[in-house]
Amino acid sequence: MYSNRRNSQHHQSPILYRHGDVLLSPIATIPTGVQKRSGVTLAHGEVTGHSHRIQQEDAVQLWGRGNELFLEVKDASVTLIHEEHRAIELQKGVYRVWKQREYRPDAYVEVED
Amino acid sequence: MRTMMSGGRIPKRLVKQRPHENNQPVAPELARKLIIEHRGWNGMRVDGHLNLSGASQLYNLPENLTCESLDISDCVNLTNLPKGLHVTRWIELAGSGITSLGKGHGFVLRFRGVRVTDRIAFESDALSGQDILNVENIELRRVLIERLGYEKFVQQVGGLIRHRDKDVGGERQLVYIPFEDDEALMILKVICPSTGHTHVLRVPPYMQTCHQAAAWIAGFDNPDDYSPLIEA
Repeated sequence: MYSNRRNSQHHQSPILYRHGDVLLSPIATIPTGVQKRSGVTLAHGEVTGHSHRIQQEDAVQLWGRGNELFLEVKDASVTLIHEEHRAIELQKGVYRVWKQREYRPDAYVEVED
Repeated sequence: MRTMMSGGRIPKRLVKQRPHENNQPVAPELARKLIIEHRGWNGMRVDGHLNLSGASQLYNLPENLTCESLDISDCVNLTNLPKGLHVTRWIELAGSGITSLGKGHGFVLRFRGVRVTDRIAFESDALSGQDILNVENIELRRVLIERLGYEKFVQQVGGLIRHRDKDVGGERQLVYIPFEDDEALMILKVICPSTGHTHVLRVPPYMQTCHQAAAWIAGFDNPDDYSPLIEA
């Protein structure tokens, strides 16, 4: 689904970081057609109020394109934090950010009664 | 000067006016936008189906709201319906924060498109896995399983282990429950490496291994693409 394969004759999986239900994978450049997003929060817990966020507020820039989210790390490294999860260090670069999914059987057909 | 004379009560910015703040019906799409932006008003009348699905930022709705049907599914922070709500057909409330309605509320309730009773909607703990297995209506059974919770359902009914292995959090299991008349319920049980909590997530029924299921959950249809460098 998210193809970030390195150039190699052998198949190598993309570099991937999992932080709870949030996933990040480095990409080469900031994609075209993105718009700046403010803040440092990658995902909010809808009920708990907890969030996956970057600790260093001035060291990153978020970019959005529709439902897609990208993180640009401008400093040498930053820290991804959350109230319940261990911190992850992220190196300078651009990352695609997305949330995990859960399966649900085919949508129920709306029956007009 | 105006600010000084008024004791500072003149707003510095113009307040965005609420359009058509009167008794005229509002188109459903505009109504959704206004309510999500907290610009709805008491007595608002919506001309048709009001779809507020997924609006987790909503904590309440305007009083005396009128619409034909109302979808508040996955409005996780909406815990009450407003006073004077008038819905002529039905309310879809799967995944909302509504946990009870007063007796004799008179609303027709739906859960993922299936009409449900108050007991199913609000007293899912009273249902047993065995009760649910005996439900013949497939869609209603799916709803009931989701209401009870996948983990509890599998505990009560006894799932079959398709695969087990270990990841950084500990043992993980791919568990399924087959149905004669419906696709199997397939879940992945994993332990969070940071919190130690067990998480249960539903995955497609064709999953064969824990790794394949974990990859699917992370968004990878090809399990070979899934190899997290760090998990926390």
